[in-house]
Amino acid sequence: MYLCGLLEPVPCGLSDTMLSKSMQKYSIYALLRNALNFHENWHRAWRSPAPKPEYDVIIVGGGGHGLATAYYLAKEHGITNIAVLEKGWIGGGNTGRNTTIIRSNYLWDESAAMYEKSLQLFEGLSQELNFNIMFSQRGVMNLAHSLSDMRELKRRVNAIRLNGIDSEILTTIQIKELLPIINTSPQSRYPILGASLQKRAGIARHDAVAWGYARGADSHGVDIIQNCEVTGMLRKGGCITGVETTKGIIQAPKIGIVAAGHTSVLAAMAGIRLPLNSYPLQAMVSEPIKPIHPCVVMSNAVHVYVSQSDKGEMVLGAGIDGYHSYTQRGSFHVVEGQLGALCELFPIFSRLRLVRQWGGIVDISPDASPILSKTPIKGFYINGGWGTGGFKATPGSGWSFAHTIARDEPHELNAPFTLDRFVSGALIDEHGAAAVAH
Amino acid sequence: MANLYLKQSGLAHLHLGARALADRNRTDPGVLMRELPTLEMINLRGDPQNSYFTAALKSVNGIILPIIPNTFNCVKDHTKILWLGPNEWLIINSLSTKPLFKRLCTSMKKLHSAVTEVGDGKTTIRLSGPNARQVLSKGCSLDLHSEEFLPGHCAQTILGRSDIVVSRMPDAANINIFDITVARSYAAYTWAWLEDAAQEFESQVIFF
Amino acid sequence: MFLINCPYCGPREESEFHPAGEAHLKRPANPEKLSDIEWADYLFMRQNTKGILLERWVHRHGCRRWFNVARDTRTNKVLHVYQMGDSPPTQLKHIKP
Ligand SMILES: Cc1cc2nc3c(=O)[nH]c(=O)nc-3n(C[C@H](O)[C@H](O)[C@H](O)COP(=O)(O)OP(=O)(O)OC[C@H]3O[C@@H](n4cnc5c(N)ncnc54)[C@H](O)[C@@H]3O)c2cc1C
Ligand SMILES: [Zn+2]
Repeated sequence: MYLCGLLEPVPCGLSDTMLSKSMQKYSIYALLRNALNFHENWHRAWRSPAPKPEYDVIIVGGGGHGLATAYYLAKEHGITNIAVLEKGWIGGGNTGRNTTIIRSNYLWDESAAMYEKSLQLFEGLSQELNFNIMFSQRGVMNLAHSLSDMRELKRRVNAIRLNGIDSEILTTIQIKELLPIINTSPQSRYPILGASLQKRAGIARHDAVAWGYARGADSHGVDIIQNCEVTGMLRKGGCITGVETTKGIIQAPKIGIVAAGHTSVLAAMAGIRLPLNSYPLQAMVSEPIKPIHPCVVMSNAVHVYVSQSDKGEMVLGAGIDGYHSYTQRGSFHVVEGQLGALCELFPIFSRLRLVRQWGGIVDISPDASPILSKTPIKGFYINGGWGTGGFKATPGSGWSFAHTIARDEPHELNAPFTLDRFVSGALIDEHGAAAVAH
Repeated sequence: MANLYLKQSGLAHLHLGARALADRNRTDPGVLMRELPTLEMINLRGDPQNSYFTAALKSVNGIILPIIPNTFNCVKDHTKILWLGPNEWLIINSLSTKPLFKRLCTSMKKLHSAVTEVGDGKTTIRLSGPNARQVLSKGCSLDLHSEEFLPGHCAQTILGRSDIVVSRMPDAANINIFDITVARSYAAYTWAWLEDAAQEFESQVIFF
Repeated sequence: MFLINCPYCGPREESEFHPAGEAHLKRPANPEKLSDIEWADYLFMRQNTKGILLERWVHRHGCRRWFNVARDTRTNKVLHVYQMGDSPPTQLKHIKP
């Protein structure tokens, strides 16, 4: 998605030496002031430094989660001698490829706490980062197409409300009022019997989340190093000591892996096996059209989800391609299936033209919940397994992972999401939360 | 098999007889479409290396199993035996007066094998005419080129998202004839899909 | 989208098949004697190979047979297919992921 934000960092020709270290504040006044100079004096949003030989903490992976971890390490824990190493460009992984659904209506207490913390951070994030992430709480609707769907939704809504999170049940008539273009005919093959709705849920601009955190982390002195691939892990005894990269060896006593689809590849470099499998997940957008679709709609049974970006594109997604792959592309029949589902729910879209389709590599764990954990190697931490649904968790994940790294112990929010749970059996089964991947 | 007098074909509700009557004066159709009468179909499994197995089959109507993948054999022009897998075949018998099932069961009695009657769950659509191949190609990933997919070839594959068994029938006039065997519950969908795909070529419905 | 050479039917489009993950996982002979860590390793831990993965597929919409595939997960290229029970191709072991 390429939405036009008012406050985008504009890449410009200034060299790094000309940049001031202190963050330039974005505001209406700054906009006016810069207008007088034909917008030629905007600073770069973050520096592009060469790596130092040694840091206190290295974060591997410059997606939203990695950048947020660095930001909160600096802001909440005063650790600023940090490098974020990114093999491509920041936000070029799943952060810049996802369909941006944000919600906290998860079934189990552990997940509800984690995703609700994230949602609350999202609610103040544009102000906190002084960066417009275009968070729009337009509501996320989950459709029910059968009596058992309906019972399942009611169970979820009850569980979610017990955790103090907003959630409600809609009737077919209420759905139609909110979303006139949806096909609610009782004659349809999968009639719509009702839905659950979380009104505080919504969407945000994905790149802006990465850029905002990058700018915030940079302003605290964090080095963001792009085009720097980690190729090996250095260990001494039971401790991690540094990484080998395409820009040389960089040392640090603490290393956090935040590499989404590549989590297990990086863990294997340190000799750690993970319960993760990486699959392609595809998404696509249509040509932009006038505002017609005011919320996010997901259907687990017909198997598609849709929202409309602020630019007017319909943003579509569904399920993973079932085979392991690192190719960032998927198969055509998966696209065909989700478009069939789309036209079933919204016959009007049969005349819509698609403009782009792409894939990301998602790392899925056996219980469809993430791993935010210490490991048997001292100083080596893992934040992965977010699979098809981690964008919504970006702030909370970074926030609790920063705590885990700084204190060398998990925060109570991420304590249930340890690696040990696959041995103890205390799994957090959220497969139902992502029957259609989002 | 259900009682014959109760039996309706998978597409009976489409009243293809009436459609055929309406279409009868079409000239130069690119594609001819019809549903074949409901036939006896048997899924057979066994070991083709076992000579008792093959001999037992031969004793029933002279059945010889195709061993080459993706091909079928015919006994005269009434029985067709299609390769489905290394130890699995589909037998289609169009002689309604001489059902095979009981005779096969008897002949297989002491052999490690499985004989399953599956005809009531399927129907067959026959697609022919100069553009039949193009129509199928719109929803089937097989290479159906007439030099590749020859008369006598068959395959289990997907057509427009439904599982099918497709076979190319021998024909003298070299008009492509494809038989598409599909689950009865998908048949109406597959028929509608084919009609839609055939629209640009002018299709004609015929009735047996 | 790629072709898979079914050992029984020949090359077919990937959509006719269904993948079933890492091949050659051995169920432990005496599960009751395993520690929790060993059991978790068998149940959950996977190689998730970036490179040549040995995996199982079933020709779901074709002959419905299971078989093994050696596929490069960086390109999706299928390098080798072999039947259930056969050991993995030795020549591929030399290709470093
Ligand atoms: C199509 C699609 C749709 C999705 N839709 C949603 C949705 O609607 N809602 C939702 O909540 N979630 C969604 N997700 C999931 C979400 O995108 C991810 O869970 C989340 O963005 C993960 O963020 P991350 O920062 O951990 O990973 P990423 O953004 O992938 O960042 C990881 C980074 O690590 C880098 N890296 C990897 N290996 C190395 C190495 N060796 N050295 C250095 N760097 C390395 C990568 O280049 C990458 O930039 C979707 C995902 C996809 C693919
Ligand atoms: Zn096959």
